[in-house]
Amino acid sequence: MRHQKMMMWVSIGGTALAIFLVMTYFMGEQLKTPAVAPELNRSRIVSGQNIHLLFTFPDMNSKEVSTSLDYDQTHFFYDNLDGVELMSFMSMWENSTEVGNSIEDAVVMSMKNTDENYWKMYDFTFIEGKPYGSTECESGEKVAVISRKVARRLFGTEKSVGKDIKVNGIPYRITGVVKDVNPLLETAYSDIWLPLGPEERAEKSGYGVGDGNIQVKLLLRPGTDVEALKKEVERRYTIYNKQHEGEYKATYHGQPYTDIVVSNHDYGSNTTPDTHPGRTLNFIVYVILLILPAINLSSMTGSRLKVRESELGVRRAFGASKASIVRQLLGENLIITLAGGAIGLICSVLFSYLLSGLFMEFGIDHESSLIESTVKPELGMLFSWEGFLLALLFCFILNLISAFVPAWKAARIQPATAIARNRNN
Amino acid sequence: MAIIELKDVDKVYRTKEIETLALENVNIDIEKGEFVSIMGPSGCGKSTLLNIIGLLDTPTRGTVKIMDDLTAGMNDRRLSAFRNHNLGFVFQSFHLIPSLNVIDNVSLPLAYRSGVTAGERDRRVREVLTRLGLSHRMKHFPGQLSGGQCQRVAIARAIVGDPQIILADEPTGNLDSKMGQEVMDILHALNREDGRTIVMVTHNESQAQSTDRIIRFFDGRQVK
Repeated sequence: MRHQKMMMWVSIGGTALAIFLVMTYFMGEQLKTPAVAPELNRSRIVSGQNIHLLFTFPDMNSKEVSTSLDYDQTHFFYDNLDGVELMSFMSMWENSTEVGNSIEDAVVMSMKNTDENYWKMYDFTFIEGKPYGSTECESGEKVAVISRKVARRLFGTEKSVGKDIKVNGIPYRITGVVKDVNPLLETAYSDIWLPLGPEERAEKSGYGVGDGNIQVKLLLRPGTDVEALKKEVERRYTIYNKQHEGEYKATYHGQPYTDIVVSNHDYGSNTTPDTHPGRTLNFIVYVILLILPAINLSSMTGSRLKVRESELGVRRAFGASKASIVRQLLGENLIITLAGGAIGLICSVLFSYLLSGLFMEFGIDHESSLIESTVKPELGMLFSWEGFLLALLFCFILNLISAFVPAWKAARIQPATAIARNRNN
Repeated sequence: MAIIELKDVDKVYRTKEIETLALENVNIDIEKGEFVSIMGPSGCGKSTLLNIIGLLDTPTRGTVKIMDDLTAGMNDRRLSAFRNHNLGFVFQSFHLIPSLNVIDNVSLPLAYRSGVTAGERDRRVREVLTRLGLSHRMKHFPGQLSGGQCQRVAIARAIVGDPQIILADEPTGNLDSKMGQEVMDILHALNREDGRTIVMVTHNESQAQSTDRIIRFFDGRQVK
């Protein structure tokens, strides 16, 4: 009995370790695309960004550039696509900007230019005031939305609406203060948001095309066929190239990009993203993390059942069929697996939350003196129902792999042989 | 009318190196309601015979007919159901499940029988435990019971499903003479009062003499 109890605890520990490893890896992956506010809709958002251009003007040698889109291009490629619920423009590169009440107290902060739809697409919490609208964007009015952190830093209070701040020395009137955003949320994070005004929309390269520092975000209706959407964008690239024959040619690279492509930084303006290697690697990691402990747990389950062979023989003698023995043993093992799984899941969440800064590398691009050196994920980013269901699924898989063969072997022993073993019961 | 019929039964145990003939050409008829003892020296095939009658093992040759059913063609599910409804086992080492209390041990056969409600199961378990004088030990675990009490629990488990046949493999082998006699009295009562057929393997000549018939074995063969 004592040996059985010890084996049970070892099995629970082994399962907990397996689930801990799998879920820590899963959470690391999940942190690339956490669906928390303000980026709640990220699974439905695709991005148009970057363009690969080959200049073919008669008076110049062929020149290839990889650059950001300009405002006209984004309209041409992405306006009025089927299945798009909302379209929003924003600056491609986040600018690091000196913000303060005066030059002396100015600090480096990250800044984004966005249109009015940005505030509808992302779920910000306004502590005070409201976002800027289309009027301010079209007129280029000097208004700004700031984060709570910025408001406290500059004014010592969150009540900052109506006050002025200086961005690179130019005064902007504050229209709203939002709750701070976790820096892991790349699209939503900023310290200060300014309207994407006429000046920003007119930005282009010296050749009059591209390099406009614009990206477009498309919120898709549920169930939209992304591949069909891409085909339409590709068709527009063909039309675009016909219109500019003899000037330049744009190469299509699979835009708009899905959230996972953007978050993994899998894209480049002159390459077509390929998510297959990443998916294959993930699959291999999950299989290894499950199979190896499952093999160990399987031999442990086998040892536990060896001790119980006589009991199983007695059960068979009194009417248990092989199938009911297998069901019973799988059920018993499932309880152990679920207990271990729950411990593993809790440990993985705590581990990821408390020690994430030490073990996980986050590709944070924001240049802001307000971001602490160690960025912690929020608990909501780590624990999700999707993750919970995955852990449950992993438990079932682990249970099946580790217990089915030993259970089946135990059930197949002739009852007379099984009863004759372990006669000391 | 024979309730158990064995015809030309052989049992051979084979390993890579050796072939052991455990039973040879066994022909036995046991009547309904009979109390039969099987005797013989150790290793003569008594327990093998009991396992074959109990459908816990299969003969290498020959046929086993129990309650007019030929058991050879039965699949695992039918065999299990057949054992569950018609056969009760009592072992020398009791073979109670140490992690279950008396009630759960005794209710084991009913747990594998469909159509028995939890209430019905509880009622029947309490009934047999009371009959065997164990009503005060229901919540105890096997480790908390004496040998005699363990064997009474094992008998309760064997009869709770109301089988017609009880197969007892040296049921008094691990008990002192007083407790052994108690167990024998219970078995006789089950035979006389309930009309159950009992096949008992024993080394004890006087216990065997108290049964209806003795079948003797030597080196796997029936001694005429």
